[in-house]
Amino acid sequence: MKTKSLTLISLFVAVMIVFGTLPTIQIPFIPVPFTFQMIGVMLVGSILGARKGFIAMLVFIILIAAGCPFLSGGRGGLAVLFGPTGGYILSWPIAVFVIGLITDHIKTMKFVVAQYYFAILVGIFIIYFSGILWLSIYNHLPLNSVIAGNSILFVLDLVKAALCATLSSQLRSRLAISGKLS
Amino acid sequence: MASQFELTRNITIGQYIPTGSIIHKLDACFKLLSFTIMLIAIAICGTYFGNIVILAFSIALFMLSRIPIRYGLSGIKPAIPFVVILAILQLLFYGSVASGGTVLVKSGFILITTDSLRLVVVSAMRFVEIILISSVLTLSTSTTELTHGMERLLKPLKYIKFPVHEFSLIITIAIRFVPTFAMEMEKLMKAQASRGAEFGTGQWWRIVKRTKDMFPLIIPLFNSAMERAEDLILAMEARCYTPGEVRSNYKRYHIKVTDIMVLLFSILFSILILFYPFPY
Repeated sequence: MKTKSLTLISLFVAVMIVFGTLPTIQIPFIPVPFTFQMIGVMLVGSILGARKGFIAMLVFIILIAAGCPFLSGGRGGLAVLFGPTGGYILSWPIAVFVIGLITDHIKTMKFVVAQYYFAILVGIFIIYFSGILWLSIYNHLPLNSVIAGNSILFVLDLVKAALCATLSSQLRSRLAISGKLS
Repeated sequence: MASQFELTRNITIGQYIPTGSIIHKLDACFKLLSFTIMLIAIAICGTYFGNIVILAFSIALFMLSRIPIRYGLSGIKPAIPFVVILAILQLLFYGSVASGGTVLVKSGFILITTDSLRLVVVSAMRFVEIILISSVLTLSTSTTELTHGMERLLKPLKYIKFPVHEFSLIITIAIRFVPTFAMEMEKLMKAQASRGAEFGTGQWWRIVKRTKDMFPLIIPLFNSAMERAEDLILAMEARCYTPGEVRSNYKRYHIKVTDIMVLLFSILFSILILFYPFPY
């Protein structure tokens, strides 16, 4: 591992942690709040790329496992990771890896935003797939009722993904211009 | 609403309570190992009696570490609504999914059996036990100790070329830069707010707008992260930092008898919990 990738990874982990402290938006009747940390997950994948993004998320999860309260709302500890909603968080490294893998292969400059949107969508699908599966197996709940409970958040995340796609395509091109990404 | 700008206030890394008890003096490496073993036992154990024994044991751990138990209980409070909703769902639906046990209540689509009742009670107890035991670990070990313990636990992975030392260096740098970035974020928020931007005040149904409001914060934050990375790389290379070199530690660790005793005890306890024929 080069010194450059080492520092980039650690600073992005720090950025992820700061995202966790941003105010969340509480939607009535849904126990899970709308957080900005998911934006961090999507951006880390599309900016750092597959390998570095994967390591960054892995470090982040290990920090949470060690008891640091870095998740949105000051949550943390192994209890959260192996609790009912652990499936979502544990799938972050894989989702980031896949997002990075797809965005690393973006070459043509046509429909850039659409390509980023596709990459982030795949990532979200992975997160929800593992989260729903974990929730239903862990709590012995029927799969369709869990899917129904997740659908509203999923639709919201689709909107978030669209915003993130524009953001990450802009960020990446700007960082490339100033030569900070290589 | 001045509080929404104080991001640094929300970050409390490693709530460590030094009381100097036996548990505090244990080696973090062994503490982590025995904790993992206990966690597996808790996840598998499905009997009423077994869970009561574990619950009593986790309370005893708190007493042994001389940490007030309210610190552990405070972790349970925010999760209560979620746990209650899950318990109700389990009580209503599990009976119709799995067959077995005697039927207690049956009306319409609701079917409550002894099996589903056991499941609800056991998973609620399991939840409390995991929170209590993991808070004993994190309240009695500082973050530095935990990182060092993890580094030493992962050491065998060196043989499959896993960069263990780089891993712990990443953690150290990341934690070092959290307050820096949080301060920077505060500055950016205040700069935007003074130009008329609003954060955290809009209605919840204007989610798209509120997310867009964050963009003028996210872009400069990433930019400054990149700039700082550049500076850090220069500083490290100027001091001849070479990744993958052999390094010595500031603190030396020695394995004590108590450490091994604790590990053996947790293994024995887990075996007892899992294989002892409890009547219920």
